[in-house]
Amino acid sequence: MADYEAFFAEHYDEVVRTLGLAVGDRSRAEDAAQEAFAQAFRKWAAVSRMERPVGWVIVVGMNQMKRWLTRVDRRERHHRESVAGLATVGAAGRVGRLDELPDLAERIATAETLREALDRLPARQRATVVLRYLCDLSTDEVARALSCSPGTVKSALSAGLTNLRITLDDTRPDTEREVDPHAHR
Amino acid sequence: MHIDELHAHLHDLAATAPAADPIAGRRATYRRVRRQRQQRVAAIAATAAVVILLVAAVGRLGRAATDEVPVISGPASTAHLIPGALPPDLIPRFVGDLPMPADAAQPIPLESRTVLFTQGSGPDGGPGGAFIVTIVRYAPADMANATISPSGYDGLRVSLGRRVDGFVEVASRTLTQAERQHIADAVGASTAPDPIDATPAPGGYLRQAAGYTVDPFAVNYALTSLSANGSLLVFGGSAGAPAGRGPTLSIAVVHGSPADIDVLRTVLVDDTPTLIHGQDGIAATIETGAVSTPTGPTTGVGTAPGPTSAPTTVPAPRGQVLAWLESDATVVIMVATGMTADELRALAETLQPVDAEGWRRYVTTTTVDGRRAAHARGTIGGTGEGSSIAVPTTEPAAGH
Repeated sequence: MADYEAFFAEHYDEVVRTLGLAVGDRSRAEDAAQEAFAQAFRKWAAVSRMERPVGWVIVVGMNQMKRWLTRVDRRERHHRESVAGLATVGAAGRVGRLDELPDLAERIATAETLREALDRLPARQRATVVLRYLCDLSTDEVARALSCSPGTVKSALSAGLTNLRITLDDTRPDTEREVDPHAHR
Repeated sequence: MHIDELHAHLHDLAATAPAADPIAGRRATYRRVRRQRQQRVAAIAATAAVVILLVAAVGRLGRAATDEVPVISGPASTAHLIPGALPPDLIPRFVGDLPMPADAAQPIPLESRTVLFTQGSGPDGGPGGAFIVTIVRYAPADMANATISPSGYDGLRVSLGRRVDGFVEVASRTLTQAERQHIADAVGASTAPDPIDATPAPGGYLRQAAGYTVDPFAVNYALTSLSANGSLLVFGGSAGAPAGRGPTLSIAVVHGSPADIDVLRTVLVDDTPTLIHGQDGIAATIETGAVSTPTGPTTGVGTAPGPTSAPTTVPAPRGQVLAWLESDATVVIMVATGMTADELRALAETLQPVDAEGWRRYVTTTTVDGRRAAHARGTIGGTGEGSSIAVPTTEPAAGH
């Protein structure tokens, strides 16, 4: 199991940070990461042969939080209807497309701005964006991690990006918007 | 490109979070592994109990008007562990089950019993220290010509006494050699039903737990009674290698309890807690003392069938020890000489559990002195000398 030890040493911090960013709750993320690594230990013979074992650990870690995520998601859904301007999954057809991403990237001025924008996303959209764009998980892997269908992932991703853009627009000073949108790239 | 930018921003954001504590995380993860294992074992045991009760109930129904109560007994199962690739200079010297068979060429203890005495709360002694008394019983025929070296084995911190039915071993890292010997002689001379009762414990020492698998004086520093239930693997240099030279390794996997680990600590030095295979264990060194060779009247406990030439004393290598409770009631003790602590740990990490069929295959395919291990039974070291009672030696082929 020496290679497991090396794997743990190399990726534990990465997994905790990723899960923490995906759900916005550090202690819950640590708990999930430890459970995921424990499962990896038990199944190490199979996990170690995977193309990207750390991806598997992240998926399992997210799975550990799915009940909590669902609860948060449900709670947020009640509030969401009253929040003007936030796109919802499946609402009014297409709400965001990947080809609009350039606009989004330009709006991100600092890590803190992005954190604020992520904090304002619904839990499932936040997790989807982080898993897809930070961990480079495929749509199918994200779907497994969140226990939903790939279609739901695509919708959540699209809505998440749109909401990020809206939020970033809201947090950007007016002068920047009018004068130089590339000032803080 | 812009997707890459979003990725980079998310990456930067993740990097601003405080670093996770890998040590605490590792401990917490292994705690989960252990808890899950225990839960699995408990679930399996519960399932087995239900099945047994059902079978018993069906059996009773099938036996009209009989009042027989089914009795279910037998030795507890112990996991088998086998090492991965070993260095080329570690040659199998013994691979097999414990207890060794009654027809072994080497005299095998009929029974081994160890009792712990401590001052304070643990075997590390707190303010007072600890010692263990082990009584190893042999068949009368094996004891007839057995002798004890007057020099003892102070390096091991073990003193020996003789009884009509076996030997007494007193081990301690806090008692003096004279104190140990006094206890060994008293227990050896006792005719009490339980000779341990005759232990003249120094002031303040109290009888504590009994560990049944530790034998501080067992062959090849295995530190495990050859009468324990489990398996033993001994590796060493070639038969012609000089005594005390080259690495040796013993791996004992026996049925035991956490108390065995504590008892073991009485003969170890500098033991520190560690995690091995995700289990709490200890890493330590062992003072093996001076080694005399060739065999003769002064080699220790033995019938000394070999030459009577004057022994040559060679510097004793410092031994490395790892011991842990692998799973429920399975104690693993690895003792190595001629290698570093890191090298031993690396070997420990290669240990893999195998089922009964895997173990049988390993035993039948491992070659000891040109013979399959399954047929080379009864001699650790495989020299065939085989008439001496097990004594520690750093050279497995020395015939003890």
